[in-house]
Amino acid sequence: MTKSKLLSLDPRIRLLIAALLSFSAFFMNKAETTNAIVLLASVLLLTAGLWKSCAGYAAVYILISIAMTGIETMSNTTVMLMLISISYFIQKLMVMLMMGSYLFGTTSVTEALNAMETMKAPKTLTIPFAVAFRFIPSIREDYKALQDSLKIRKIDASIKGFLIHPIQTFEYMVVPILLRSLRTSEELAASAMVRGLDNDKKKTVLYPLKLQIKDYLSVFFTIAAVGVLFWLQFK
Amino acid sequence: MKEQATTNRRKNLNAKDLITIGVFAAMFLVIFFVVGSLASLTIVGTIANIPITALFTAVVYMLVAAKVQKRGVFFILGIVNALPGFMAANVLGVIASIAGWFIAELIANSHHYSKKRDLILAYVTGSTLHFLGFSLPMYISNVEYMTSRQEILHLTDAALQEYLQYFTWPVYAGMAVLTIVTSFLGARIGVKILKKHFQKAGLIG
Repeated sequence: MTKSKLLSLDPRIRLLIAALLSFSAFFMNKAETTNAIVLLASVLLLTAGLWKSCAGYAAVYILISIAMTGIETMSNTTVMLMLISISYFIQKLMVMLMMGSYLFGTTSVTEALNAMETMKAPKTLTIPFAVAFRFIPSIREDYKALQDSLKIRKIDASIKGFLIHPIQTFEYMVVPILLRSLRTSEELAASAMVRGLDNDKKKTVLYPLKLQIKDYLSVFFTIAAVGVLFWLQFK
Repeated sequence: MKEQATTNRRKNLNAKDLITIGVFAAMFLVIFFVVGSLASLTIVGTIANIPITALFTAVVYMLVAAKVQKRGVFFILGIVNALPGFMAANVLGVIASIAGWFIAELIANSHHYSKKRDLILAYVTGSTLHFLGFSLPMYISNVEYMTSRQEILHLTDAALQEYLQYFTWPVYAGMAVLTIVTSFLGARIGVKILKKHFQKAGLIG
């Protein structure tokens, strides 16, 4: 099923924009610049037709922002610090998560690898990172299946169980997923070998990547917007 | 000439190894973020975040090292380990941490990833240098580091004071020792888990 995209960009440009926004987000600590960069990321998700992800992330961000406005009035500093660190963590993660779902939602692994190969990035770094980011959602599915299996065996895999018997619960939860991951990695590797990922010779490309005017314009607009945000942040 | 090329291929990481590293890097990131977030619920957990996560992520390092057994495993996983440091805009810490994992890589590769003892020592070294390098900017200029980030972290003055009392040199040394202990324990537990579940099943050598 194809998503209705308003703007379909070159995968290299998508990667560049995602990296630029995620990196810049770490330096934005004023309310207006942080809000602006989240807005920018939301617009990007919308142009890719990923409105569900956009709505979800934006809702969480707005809720946390509202909750944070009243936090300074709390008298218990320990609880306050705890809440601040959690919400700070989630807020900082937001742009990165948005960019992650932008890349996942618009780019296939083959497309990403093709883009990285065109950019002459070293395989030692590109393959693990491409696989890692593609594999994280599968872990969530594996974990759900594991939870059902643990419930049948009456094993407590909740946070309470983890706090009482950390190592044992960790073993119950992690070993089955690791075993499954090992199998998945072998299957993935076999599939990659068949496709000739291991071949050092230059590969032929069915759809050669070529930058278009919309790609240049998007990069220009992103750099300009990020530039303005940095100026607002550090003026 | 052909034999030399074949030997090099055997020694260097191939696509299969890189995919294995990628899959387990994902697993590493999940464990890192889940355990790290749970630990961050308390201030002590926040200060001791690296030692605590080192205890739980060890099994992934041990498993990948035992499975792949080639130069580069510790270094690539180390880079994955260090990168979340950008979330705190700690660029120097990330660079120092990557350098630490490079040293760990040299130790792990001293007998071509064949000895468990090397892997445990490499993990302990890597984790400890990761802690020392990554946390150093915070402890060198604890007041500057936190006050400059007061706005990012939304800290009030009272909260900032409470935070600063934890950033002292004895705490730094204590946390380094704690990292040695937890990473060693984690690596030992990791090796035991591998023996119990993976070696017996014939999944690793």
